[in-house]
Amino acid sequence: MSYTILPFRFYHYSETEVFLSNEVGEFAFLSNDDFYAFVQDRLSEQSPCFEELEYKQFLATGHVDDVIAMLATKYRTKKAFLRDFTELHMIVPSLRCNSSCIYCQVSRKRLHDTKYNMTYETADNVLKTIFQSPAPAIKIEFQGGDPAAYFDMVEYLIEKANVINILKKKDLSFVICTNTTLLSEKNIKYLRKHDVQISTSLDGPKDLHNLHRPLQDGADSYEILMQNISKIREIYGNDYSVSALMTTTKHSLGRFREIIDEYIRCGFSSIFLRPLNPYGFAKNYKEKVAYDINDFVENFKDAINYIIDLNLNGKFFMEGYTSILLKRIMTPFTTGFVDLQSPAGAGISCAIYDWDGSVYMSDEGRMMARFKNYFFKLGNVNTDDYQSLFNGDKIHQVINDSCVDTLPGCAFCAFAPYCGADPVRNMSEQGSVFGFRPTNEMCHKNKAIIKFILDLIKKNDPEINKVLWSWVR
Amino acid sequence: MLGIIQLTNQSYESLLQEHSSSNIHNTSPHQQEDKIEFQKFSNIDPNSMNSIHLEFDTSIYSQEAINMALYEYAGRFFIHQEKIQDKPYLLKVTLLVKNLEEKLTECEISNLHKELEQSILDFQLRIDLERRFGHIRDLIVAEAFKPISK
Repeated sequence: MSYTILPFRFYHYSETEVFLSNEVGEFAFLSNDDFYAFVQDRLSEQSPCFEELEYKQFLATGHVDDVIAMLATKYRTKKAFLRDFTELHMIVPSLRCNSSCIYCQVSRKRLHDTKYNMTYETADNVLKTIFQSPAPAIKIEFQGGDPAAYFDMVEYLIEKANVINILKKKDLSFVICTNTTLLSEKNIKYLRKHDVQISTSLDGPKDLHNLHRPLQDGADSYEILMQNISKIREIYGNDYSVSALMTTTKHSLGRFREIIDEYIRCGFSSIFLRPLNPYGFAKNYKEKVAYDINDFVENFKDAINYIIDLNLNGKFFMEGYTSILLKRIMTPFTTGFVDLQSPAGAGISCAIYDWDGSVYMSDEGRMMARFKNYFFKLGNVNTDDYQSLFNGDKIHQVINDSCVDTLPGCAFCAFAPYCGADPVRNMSEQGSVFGFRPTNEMCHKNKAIIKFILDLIKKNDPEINKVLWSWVR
Repeated sequence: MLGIIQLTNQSYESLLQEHSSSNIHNTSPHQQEDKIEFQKFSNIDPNSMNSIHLEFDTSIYSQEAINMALYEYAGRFFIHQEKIQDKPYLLKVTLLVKNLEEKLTECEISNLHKELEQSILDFQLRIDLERRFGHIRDLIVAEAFKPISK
C-alpha cells in the first residue's frame, strides 16, 4: 500500500533502534530495517509497526488533508501556552535581603539599603501594566531580594491588585517567594487571609542548607525555616500552601538522596531538582559553586531511580522536572514551564517588574541586568506604556529568535517537541540569544534527561509506568 | 564517498600559539574561536594526532548536509573546508581539536570518522525528507493558527 510520509524527526537511539518524533510529540521506536524501509516508501502494511506509524501520524494512507486537520488540532493544543499571553507577573518590592546565599542569582542588597525599595508610584504603574495583559488568569509572584523585607509594599500591591480586579475580573492569584525568616506571625496570617501561596527554598539537610543559605546575622537559617514551615502550615491549616525549591551547587552532588529524604521528612510530596543558574553571584563566583553539567545529570538519574523506588514501596513522591517532561512526552497537553517553551516563554508567558519599575522578559534577564547587560529589558512602567513594553521590537525579536524549529542544532533534533529555547541563558552563557548547541549545557542536560526518561518509558514495566503516570498532572 | 584519514604524532600547539594573544581577547568563547585565521589550517601536518582530514564528494552529499553534520563537531574542533582546485566536486575538510591538551587516539579518530559519516547520511536523509514532505509541516502550522491569522 502506498503511503505519504508526514513530517517527523529521528535519532539513532541505539545500534539497532531509531527514535522518531513528530511535531505534536508522538513518538515511536523502529528497528533500523523498519526505519529505512519506512523512509524509502517500502514499508509493508503487514509490518507490525505500520499501524503504529499510522495512528501516531507518522504516515498517512488516506486523504492527507484529514490528517493535517487532526495534527493541527494537536499542534494548537501543544502551543496553548501562546493563547492567553503573559500570565505570570513577578514583582520585586525590594532588592533587600537578610540572606547571603553562596549562589545568589539576583545580587541582593543589604537589609538597611532602603533606597532599593519600590516606590508607591512605581507600584501603581506596575499594577496598571499588569492588568492590561489580555490573560484571563493573572498570577502575581513577589520576588526579591526577599519580599518580606518590605512587607508593607507586598500588602499594598495585594490590596490594590484586588481593588483593580473588581472591575477587571481576572482569575487573580498571588505567590510570595521568601526564605520565610523575616515573616512574623502577623505577616503569615495576612498572607493566609489573602490566599497567598508561599514558595520557599530548602536546599537539603541542615548542614547543606546552612552552607548554601546563611543569614547575614549569623542565625541558624535552617532552624528558623523549619519553625516557620510548621507555623505556616498551622496557620494555613494545610500542608500544600507552602512549597519549596532547591538549588544544586557542587556541595549538593552526591547528596541528592539525602536531600530527597529531607524533603520527605519535612512533609513535602515533591521536589524540583534544579541545577545552578549561571547568573548573579553564581556566575561571578563560579569556582565556589559550579560543576560539570554531566555530574548533575548523573546525580539526577540516580535521584529519579531512588524516587521511583520510594514510590514502588508505597511512598508517593514526585520530581518536578521529570513530571513536566513526562507530560510533554506522554500527553498531548501543554505545560506552563517557561524555561522549556518554543517560542521561549520570556515575555510572553512571564515578565518581571524590578523595584525601580524596569520590566524584563524574565527573572534571569533581570539578573543579567545586575551585571550591566540590559538586552532583555523591555522598558520601564514609569515611562513606557503596555503596548511599547509587550508589543515592541525587542520582544518580537527575541520570540522570533527562540523557536526550536529554526535554531541550529535544534531544528532537526528528535527531542525538540519536548524541549524549548532559553534565549536568556544562551545570552548569559554563550553571548547570543541563539546559543551554540555543541557546547550548550542546557542542551546537553535536556538531551540526557529526556533520553533517560524515554529509557524508563521504553522499559514498559507496568509498576514503573504506574509511578510515571502518577506524576503526570 | 567519505574521504581519507591520516595521522601521525605532531602537535599543533605552535600553530595556536601564533594566534594566542593578539586575536582572542574581549570576545565570547566561540567568537574567540572564530578569530583563528583559517588559512593557517594549511600549515597543519595532515598526519597530526590532533586533526582529522576528510574529503567528501559533493555530488553525493549536499553542502548543507555536510555543514549540519560538522556543526555538531564545532564545539570540540576548529573546522575548515576548502574546495580542491582541479576536482571541484571534492570538498576537503579539516577538523582540528580546540583543546591544546587533547590528543586523539587512532581508535577515536576511527570512531569519529564513522560517526561523522553516519551523521552526514542522516542529515542528507533529513534534508531529502524535508524537501519531499516539509510543506506538510507548514500546512499543519497554518491550519493550527488559522483562527488567529485573519
